[in-house]
Amino acid sequence: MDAVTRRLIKELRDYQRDPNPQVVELSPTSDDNLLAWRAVIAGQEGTIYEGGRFDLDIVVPNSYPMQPPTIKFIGRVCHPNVHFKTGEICLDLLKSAWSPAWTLQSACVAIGVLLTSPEPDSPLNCDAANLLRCGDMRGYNSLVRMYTQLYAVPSTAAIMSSTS
Amino acid sequence: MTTPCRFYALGTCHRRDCSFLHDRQSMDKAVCAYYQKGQCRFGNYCALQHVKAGSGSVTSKSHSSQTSQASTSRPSPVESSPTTGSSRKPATVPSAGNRRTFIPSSAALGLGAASIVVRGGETLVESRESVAGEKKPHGEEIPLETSLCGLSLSAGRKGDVRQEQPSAGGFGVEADAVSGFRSSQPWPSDYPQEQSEDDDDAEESKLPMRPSYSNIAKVGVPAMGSSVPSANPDDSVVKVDDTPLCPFAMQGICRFGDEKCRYRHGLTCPVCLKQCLDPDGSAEEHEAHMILCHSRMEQKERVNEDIDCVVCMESVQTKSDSRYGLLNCDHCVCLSCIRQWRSNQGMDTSKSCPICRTITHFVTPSSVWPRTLDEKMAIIEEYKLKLSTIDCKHFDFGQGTCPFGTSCFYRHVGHDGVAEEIKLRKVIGQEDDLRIVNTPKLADFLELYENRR
Repeated sequence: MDAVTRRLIKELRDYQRDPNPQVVELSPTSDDNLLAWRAVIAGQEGTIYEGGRFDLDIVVPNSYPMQPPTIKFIGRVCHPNVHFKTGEICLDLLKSAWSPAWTLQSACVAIGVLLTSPEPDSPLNCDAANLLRCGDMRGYNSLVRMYTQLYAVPSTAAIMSSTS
Repeated sequence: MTTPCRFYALGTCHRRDCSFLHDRQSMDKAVCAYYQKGQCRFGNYCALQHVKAGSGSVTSKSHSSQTSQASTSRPSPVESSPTTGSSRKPATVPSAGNRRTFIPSSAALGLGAASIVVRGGETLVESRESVAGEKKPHGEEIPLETSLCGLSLSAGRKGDVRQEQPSAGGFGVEADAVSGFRSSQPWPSDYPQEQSEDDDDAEESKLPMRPSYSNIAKVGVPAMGSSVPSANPDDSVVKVDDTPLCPFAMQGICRFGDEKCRYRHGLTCPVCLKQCLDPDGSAEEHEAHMILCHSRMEQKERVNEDIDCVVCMESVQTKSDSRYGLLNCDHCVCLSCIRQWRSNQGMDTSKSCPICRTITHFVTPSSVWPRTLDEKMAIIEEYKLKLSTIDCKHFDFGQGTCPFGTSCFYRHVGHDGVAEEIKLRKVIGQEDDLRIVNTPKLADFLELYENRR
């Protein structure tokens, strides 16, 4: 068993023993491949992402934990630092600021925190970032709430997909 | 079967079915590659030939070839005359016994020293202070008396070497056989062969022959007579103050036991239960050792404490390489993990602690996890001290340049043993601030130029 596998098994066990409330789900997609994970984070209560469940696709490199995992959103998320179409996340933690002390769980928590503290100066979603930069908080909040309702809240998302 | 067996050359290959060449002549030709680079740490005791790179000449290295010679006397370098030096074979026939012997220090063992000086055709064999004790390492299992034999012969050669030959008694046949072998060597006939005969003696000394008392008496080595009374096994353990304790017993296992071991066995330390207390040592020394033992035991117990590496999340002690890497902060990482992380070029933060991002410029390996700052500092200092005895490979004895400069932990010493001259350009600024200016390099200016454009 190589170092990556040992560490990932340990991380999985740690998550199952003591899950962070924000990370609803975190597990490998299949028993065969420990390098592909799926996570679900919940939008924090009291924020514009409240009620949403956001799926994350995690690809762990073989050199983990020396190299960061690749994490992206699966569904559509309206956020200045998330690409609207691909779900790519712009977060320094997942690139240059990675440290092997981070875990998959803590990275997911960090992404959850990123949702509520956007950084509009390095945007992937220019429309959302421009609203923020102009100070149009009302417009930004309602836009995010709408997309959260449309794509991330399970009940409405099911209705939307059935009607469309 | 063309590649010579290196282990045979060292006398340690016992395989009959060895797939490498077992050839005495090939052993002559085995050249020490380390010496050619200038770094053979075995010096005169090297089993291989010391030949300078590019030239065929053998340097003034006398093989302290055989068991008895190596253990009882330490020949000083042979000064060969320039006329014979370039053409002849090396002075010794590196026989099967030409093995690298573990000799801590001939002085420490209280051994006698015989120097052999060869100038032109005439030979002088001087025997210096004779044996104080015949202690020998465990690697060789030569009876004590044979080492006496070798000594007696070498010491007896003061006058005439050939005349001493008969005193070796029944060794004549053996000597003839070897001289027959030697006659096939392309040496000049006038080349003095005393060195080789030493080897003959050495080979003979492997035989379970015991020299008579008269032999030793004839040789007339007074010191030897007093310190080594006889070849009687009962007296073989000679109590001499400066002989070292048996290193194996000090580690806890000596397969010879207290009675048969040539070395002195110390008293058993009540703490570590190893025979490492010098019987002749003072009570203070014993006390100091026991205190040291206690602290070591404590460290070992602490090892059992379960500290997980923050990178691999495993207990460092359970890993195959159970060493910690000490950082500037107090976070625990295992050495292999932190080294892997620090070699990670793509990350901006690789030189910092994975947890707190404290920059650490060097990681100190440690087998124990220090509990206090003082302990940590002691470990770091010890590590630096150890590194300062190792030659810097970048500096390369003055031929290269070390990118770490004056901050390098390794030793910067040239071939001549002179330490590197440190040239620092210091600049005092307007506000009396002292700055150290690096040696300017062309690349710096090019970079500056590129940036301006």
